[in-house]
Amino acid sequence: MSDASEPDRSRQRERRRILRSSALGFGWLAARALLPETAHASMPTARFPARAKRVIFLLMHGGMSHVDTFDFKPALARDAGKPPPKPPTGFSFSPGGKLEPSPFRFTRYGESGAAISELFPEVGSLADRLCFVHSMHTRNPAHGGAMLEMHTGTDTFLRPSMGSWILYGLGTENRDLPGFLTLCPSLAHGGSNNWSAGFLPGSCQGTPLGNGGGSPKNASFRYLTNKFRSPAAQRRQLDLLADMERAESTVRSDSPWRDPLADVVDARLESFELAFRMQSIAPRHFDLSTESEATRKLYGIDEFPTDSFGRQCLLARRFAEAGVRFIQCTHAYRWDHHTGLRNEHALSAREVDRPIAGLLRDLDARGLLEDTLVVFGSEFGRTPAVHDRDGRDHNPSAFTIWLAGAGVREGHHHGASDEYGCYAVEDRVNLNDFHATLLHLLGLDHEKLTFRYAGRDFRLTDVGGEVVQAILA
Amino acid sequence: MARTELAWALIQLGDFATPRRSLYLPRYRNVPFDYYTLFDAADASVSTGQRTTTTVAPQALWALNSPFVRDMALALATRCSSAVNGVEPSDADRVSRAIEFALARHAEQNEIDRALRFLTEIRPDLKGKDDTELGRECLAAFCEMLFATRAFLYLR
Repeated sequence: MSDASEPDRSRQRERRRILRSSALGFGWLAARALLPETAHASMPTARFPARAKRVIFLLMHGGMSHVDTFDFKPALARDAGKPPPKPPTGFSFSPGGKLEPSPFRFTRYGESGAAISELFPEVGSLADRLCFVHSMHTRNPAHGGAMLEMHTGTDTFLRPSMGSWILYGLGTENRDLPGFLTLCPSLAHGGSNNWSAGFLPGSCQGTPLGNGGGSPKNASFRYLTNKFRSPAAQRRQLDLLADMERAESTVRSDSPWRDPLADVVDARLESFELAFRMQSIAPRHFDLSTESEATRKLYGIDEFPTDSFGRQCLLARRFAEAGVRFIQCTHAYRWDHHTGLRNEHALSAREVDRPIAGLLRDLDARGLLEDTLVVFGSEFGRTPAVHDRDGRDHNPSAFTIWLAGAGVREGHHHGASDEYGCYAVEDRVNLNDFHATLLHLLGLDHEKLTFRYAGRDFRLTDVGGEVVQAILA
Repeated sequence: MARTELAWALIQLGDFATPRRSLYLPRYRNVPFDYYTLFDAADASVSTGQRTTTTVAPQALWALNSPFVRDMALALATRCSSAVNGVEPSDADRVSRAIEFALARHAEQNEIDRALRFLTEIRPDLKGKDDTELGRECLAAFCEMLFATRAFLYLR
């Protein structure tokens, strides 16, 4: 396995050399202006031509029921009331119950004839542009573990999020914004572990904007202004900070040991410089009033019940335009309907259907869908068998995701769950495979994008993962 | 009031109401407390073998602009400016006391010189209703950066 962290080390050595010799020092470093933006995985072995430059990940947190949305199972109506098939793995999260047909009507859309329920009419109308994977499966049947698997590939250890790996591999396209933004993320079920950089450099970490408990109207960077400190005053403060840290470094360079905090201090000073630039530039990214009435309508902004997720999606498009590498929009914990599924799933779908279709149309109209990959999914699906209540339980054994945009086959359906939607059976895709495919679309080889930590190389896909070639355009 | 109850009440208020540093803070599983969130404390609902090290711009924004950091910096500036035995401290006394209080070591002469240069340079960029208040504001601006240094933040 080649060592992807090698270019990174030499980059940091180079940076330290510049810092030591520079008259201006840390404060005026602007390291990314001096050094290649995409240093981390620039070695030819790990990279090949990319189809996608960035990712927008739309996460339906809570467990969207695949059999009530994008995985049509007519056999559920035929065999309603019968017991579900025995689990092939011997494990079932919610054993027993009776097969229950979806309360929602399914319609076939487009030339591809995708069967999609009445919950997603707007997204359905774009079915020919979507690429469905019906054979997703994961291991952990609880939200926290499944969310961690979805984001990091493992529920067992603290590992970097996929967004962090992507940012690590590709670097940033916008030096005035963080390269990995997560809008209104859920604070539970993994919380910050879902956007953490783990052992990767701190600069690869996801930056949360707002949280799942609040409105995206307030989803901005916090503490963006200071009425007691003008930019000129803060410039002096940052120069002082850099001076103080440089003095500390000089003391330490006499020591035979490498300054153990050098990387941390570098990252911190960079983060202060980024913060300083963000103060002047970030506010305009959040100003949705500059969008036309037609655009706001497209996303369902200022309308019930689409306003909230509509704002998230519109912000996502703006950040995509601005060159943010990985943007996540979380529909926070709105899909966990063990009871009240008929009404609640319908409401949750109404909240996101139009905003998501609006996002896809808007990205397409602006030519951004060419090099933006949109991923829609949930941490797991729901059980086709129910227990005498209007609700379904967690089903990690089968769920559906879809992708759209850069590099994926449009109107394609990959894999299948069994006739009831209990288990993924055909062309099964696990999260390692999913992550490998994601990296592939971005031009990164998941086996070569590694980081040396605790004495060995680590990957997003651990020792698993196969690129799902069939969904590539 | 039991100690944990007091801490709980303070968390509810979102204010620790004291300018002292603390080594331990209470953690409640289902309360996403503001600063924990900003500094990416692990989710208490799943096991976490090791905390993440995080260094992101919003934390720097907090250090630069949050009312909490400002309040603490003003408190330190005030403390450093108080007269000792009826003698008003000089600016050099003030910054060396700030370094002593914040970093628990004596200030070096070059640190004091650098700080005095900073106080002079930043003065025209800051506001205060009189000389005393402007002086305190300048010192607070220095203290804010003192709080941002590795010497203050990291264990050796």
